[in-house]
Amino acid sequence: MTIPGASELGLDVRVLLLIGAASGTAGAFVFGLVAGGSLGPASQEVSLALGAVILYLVVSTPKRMVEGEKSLQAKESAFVSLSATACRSVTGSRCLTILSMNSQEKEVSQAFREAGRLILLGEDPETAVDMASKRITSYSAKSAMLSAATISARTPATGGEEFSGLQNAMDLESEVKVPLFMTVCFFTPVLLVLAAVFGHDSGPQSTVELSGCGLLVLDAAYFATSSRKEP
Amino acid sequence: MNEDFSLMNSLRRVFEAIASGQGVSRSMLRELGGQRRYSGARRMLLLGHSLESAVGELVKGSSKEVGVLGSLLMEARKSSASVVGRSSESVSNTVEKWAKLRENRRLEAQSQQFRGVLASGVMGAVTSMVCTLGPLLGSFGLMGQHTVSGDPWLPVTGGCLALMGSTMLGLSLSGGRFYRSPAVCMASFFLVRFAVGPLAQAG
Repeated sequence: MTIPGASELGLDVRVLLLIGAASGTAGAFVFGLVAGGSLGPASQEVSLALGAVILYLVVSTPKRMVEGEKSLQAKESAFVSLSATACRSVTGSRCLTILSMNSQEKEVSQAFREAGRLILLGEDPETAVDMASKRITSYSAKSAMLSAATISARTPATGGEEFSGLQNAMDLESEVKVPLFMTVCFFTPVLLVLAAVFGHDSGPQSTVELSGCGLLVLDAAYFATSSRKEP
Repeated sequence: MNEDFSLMNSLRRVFEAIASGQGVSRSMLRELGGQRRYSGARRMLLLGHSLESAVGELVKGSSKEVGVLGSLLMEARKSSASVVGRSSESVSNTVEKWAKLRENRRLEAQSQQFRGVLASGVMGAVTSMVCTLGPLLGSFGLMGQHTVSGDPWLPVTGGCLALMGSTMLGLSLSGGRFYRSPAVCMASFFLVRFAVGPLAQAG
């Protein structure tokens, strides 16, 4: 079984699933405690649903992290690609080009530093970049780095297509998630008030319990549907 | 945002001038001249400050896309100006596309914010209606369940839940101006409460 983003971050799938299951169980247990008897028999089903949402949140965290990084790196690759071409035309040396390259993106910058270190230790530029760019998740950033190290003068990708693709994916994701979150926000208070109206308990304790339930459900929905920030 | 596009066009002209063989500073002075917004950067160049400082002044407060073009301009000074000038066309196009994409997203976010405020208003009204009329309808025994008629805590519960829902909606869609959603929600909540309250009491 594979989980998107887990291999890029070097995470063990089983450990991630275990953490997700533990968090989901803990979330469901806390919800059961908070809800008390205010939701009646529906409490168990809602607890299970909340546990499942928390499991999804934990398991999908690496994917979200990797996609965020990928967007940043794809954006940076436009600069890296042109900068490498210009630097190479001046120095005429692949090694000097890689040693003088820098980037504002953390992973790309680290990869350049690592490649420079390997070159100083006697590695071939292509091998050095290949070894150092293993943690780069964006293919256009990787391609821009490799273009600085290869002998052929092919035009490297600027990263525009990849970044646009990622942006489109983000837009589609948000088209699905925003209405879903609005529905949850709209119906959770209404349904909980209906539960209070037709419930057997009333008073301050019921108010606190229902408010706690609402808070947990809305929090889980917020984190499950929140989109990545635009780089 | 229009200022960003204007600056991008100016920087594109600077790159074209660089590609034609002119110096970086001279191209900047020539192409950015006549626009008051860029007078700070021009003055810095004329007073002998470094190109980095002038470019920093130029792109200050602009979007990240303009920042990328500014970095390219500095790269032109460090490496080969003619190569950067010649190759910058594709990067300028790409960066401009990103800026347009960002502008579209901003407009979409504005419409989503409006939808969020609208949904909060409706949510407040519906919650208030359920709080006020729910016990009355429940007392008819249509669903064969016991209801908590006349419970003073019911409006408090409804108000708290509507406030939470609208605040989360505001936080998710409006960011810094999240307070508009709960404000609209509470206004509609109390409006409906006062409008429908007498009906419930009469029942």
